[in-house]
Amino acid sequence: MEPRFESGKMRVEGGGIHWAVAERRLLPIFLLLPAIVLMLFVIGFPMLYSLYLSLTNYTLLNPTNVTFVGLKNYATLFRDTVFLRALLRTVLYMLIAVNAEFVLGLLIAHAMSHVVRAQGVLRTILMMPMMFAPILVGFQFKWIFNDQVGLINNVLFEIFRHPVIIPWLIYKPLGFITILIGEIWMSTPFMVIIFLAGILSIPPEILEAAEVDGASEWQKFIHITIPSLTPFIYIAMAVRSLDLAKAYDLVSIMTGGGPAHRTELIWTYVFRLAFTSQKFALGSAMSYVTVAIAVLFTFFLFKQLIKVREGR
Amino acid sequence: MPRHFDISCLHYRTDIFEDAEMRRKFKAETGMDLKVPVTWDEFKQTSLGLQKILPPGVYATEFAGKEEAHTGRFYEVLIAEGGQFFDSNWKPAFNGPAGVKAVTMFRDLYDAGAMPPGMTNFVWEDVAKNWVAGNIVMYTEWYGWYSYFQDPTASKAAGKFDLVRQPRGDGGIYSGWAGQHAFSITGASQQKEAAAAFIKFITNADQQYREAKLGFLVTRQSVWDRIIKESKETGVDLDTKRLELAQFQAANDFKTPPLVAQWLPASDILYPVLQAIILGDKEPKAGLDEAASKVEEMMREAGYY
Repeated sequence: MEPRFESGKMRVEGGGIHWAVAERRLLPIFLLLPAIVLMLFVIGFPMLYSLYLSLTNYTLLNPTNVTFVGLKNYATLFRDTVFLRALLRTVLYMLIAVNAEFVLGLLIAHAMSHVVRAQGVLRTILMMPMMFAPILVGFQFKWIFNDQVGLINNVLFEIFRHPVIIPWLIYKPLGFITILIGEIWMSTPFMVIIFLAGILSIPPEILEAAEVDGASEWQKFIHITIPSLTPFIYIAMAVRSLDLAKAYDLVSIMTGGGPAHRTELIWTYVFRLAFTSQKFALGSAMSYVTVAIAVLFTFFLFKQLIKVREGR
Repeated sequence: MPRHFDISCLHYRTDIFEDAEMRRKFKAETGMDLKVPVTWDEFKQTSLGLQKILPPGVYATEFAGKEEAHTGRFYEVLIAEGGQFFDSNWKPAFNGPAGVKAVTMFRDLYDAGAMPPGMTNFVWEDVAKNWVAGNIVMYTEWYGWYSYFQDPTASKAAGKFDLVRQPRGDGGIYSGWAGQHAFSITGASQQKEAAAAFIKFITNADQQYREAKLGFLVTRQSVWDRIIKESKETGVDLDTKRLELAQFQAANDFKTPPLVAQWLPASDILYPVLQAIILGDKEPKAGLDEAASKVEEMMREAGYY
C-alpha cells in the first residue's frame, strides 16, 4: 500500500510509521538538530560558563571559594599594559602575515597556473608545509633560528668563515620577524590552493580575448585575474585572519611569548594567566574580549564579501 | 613516595681550567689566577675574565633563561647572597639588596657576552645541548644529565669536565636549588590499590638501579650503596666523585623553593621581569620592585594577608 501523508497527522500504514511533516521548512531543522545540540553542549555551555567565570574571582588554586566580582576582571584587563601590547601585537601579526601570505600566495598560484608539466607533483611539494602540525613547525623554526646550533647561523658561518651569533629569537624586532617567517612559511600554501582554484575557474576565453586585444601579461593579471579572484581573496583572507587571531602553537614553542613579553600574543598570555598563574577568571575575561573582537572583524569582512558579490 | 631527587652542582671544563696557555692568558688579562670559583663573586669575575680570552662562539657560562627554570636559578643565587623570596609574613623580599645583586650578576654576564645571546630562550634541554656541543666552560646543572654528558658519541665535553659544589654567596650559604620527583595517590582515586601497586613497581630496587645507571639521583639507600661500589670499578674517578658530592650537597645544601602553591604564579610574574633586566629593558631595582608589587597583589588575592 502506498504511504499516505496528510498535513499535521500521523498515519500508520502497512505496519510502518510515517511522520507527516506540517511544513517542509521543519525538515532542515530536524536534520540540523543533532549538530545544534552537540554544538550547544560542546561550545555553547562552556562559553556561557566561561562568561560567568569571567565575572568572578575563580582561580584553579581555590576553585570552591568563588565570589562574584562583576566587571572587575575586565577593568583589570584594560589597565594591564602587557595585555594591551599583546593585543596590538596580535593585530600587527595578523596584518603582516595575512598580507604577506596574500601576495606570496597570489604570485605562486599565478606562476603555477602557467606550469604545463608535473603540475601535480609541484602542487604536492608546495602544499607540504600545510601538512605539518604547527607545533612541529615551531620546533623546526626554533632550531633553524637557534643562535648556537641553528641552521641560519651555521650557514652564515660557512659563508663568512667566522662565527655569526645572531640571537634571532631574542632581539627586537628579530623575534617577532622569525615567528612571522614560520607562520608565513606554514600557511602560504593555503592561499595558493584557494587562489589557484580561482585562477583555474576563470574562463579561458576572457584571457584569450584580452590577448587578441594586445593585453600584456601584467595587464591581464591586473585587469582580469585579480578582479575575478576577489571573492576568493575575501574568503581566504577572512579565514586566515581568524586563524592568525588565535595564533598560539608556533609562538609558544619558538619563544613562549618572551623574552620579557617581546613576542607575547593574546593567546600565549591567556594561557599563562589562566593555567600557570591560575587566574582562570582573568584569562576568561581576556578570551571574551578577544573573541568579541574576532566576531566583529568576521562580521565586517563578510559584509564586505556580500557587497562584492552583489557588485556594489 | 619519592622516586628521584635532584640538586645542581657546578660543571666545569677541566681541559680549559687546567690548560697552561689558558691560565697564562687569563693571568695576563685579569691579573688573577684561573681557578674554579668558590663564591658567586669569584664566579662572576672568572666568567668575565674568561670571556675575554675564549674563541668566538664559546662562552664562559650560561643559565636557563626562562620560565620556572630561570626563577629557580635566580632563587638559588638570591638565597646564597643572604636574601629570601618571601619574608616571614609572605611579603615578597626578593627585591632587597641580595636580589638586586643576584640579577645584576646575570645582567652583567649577559652584557659582557659571557653567556650565549639566546640565553633568555633556554630551558633545560637547551643549556644541556650547549654544554655537550662544547660551547660552555662552566655552569650549574642537575646531576641527572651525567650519562648524556659522558657519552662520547653525543658530547664533546665527555671526559673533559669535573664537578664541584655550587658557589656560595655573601650570606655564607652555598646554592642548591633542589627538589624531588615523587608519586602520590589522590584521595578521590577509584583505583588506589592499583596505583599503589604501580608505585611499588616503579620505585622498586631494580627500577631505581636502572635509573641510577642513567644518572638519576634515586631514593633507595640500597641502590646508592650498590652504584657507589660499582662506580669504583669503572676506572673513571668522576663516576664516584659525583655520587659522593651529590650526597654531600643533598645533606648540606638542599634548598627547595617556598613550598606554597603560589610559587609557580609568582615565578610567572617574576621571570619576564628578570629577562627584561638581563636584556636591559629595565633597571634591576626598579624591575624587581615592580615584580614584588605584583607578587604581593597576587598573594593578597590568594588570602595570605
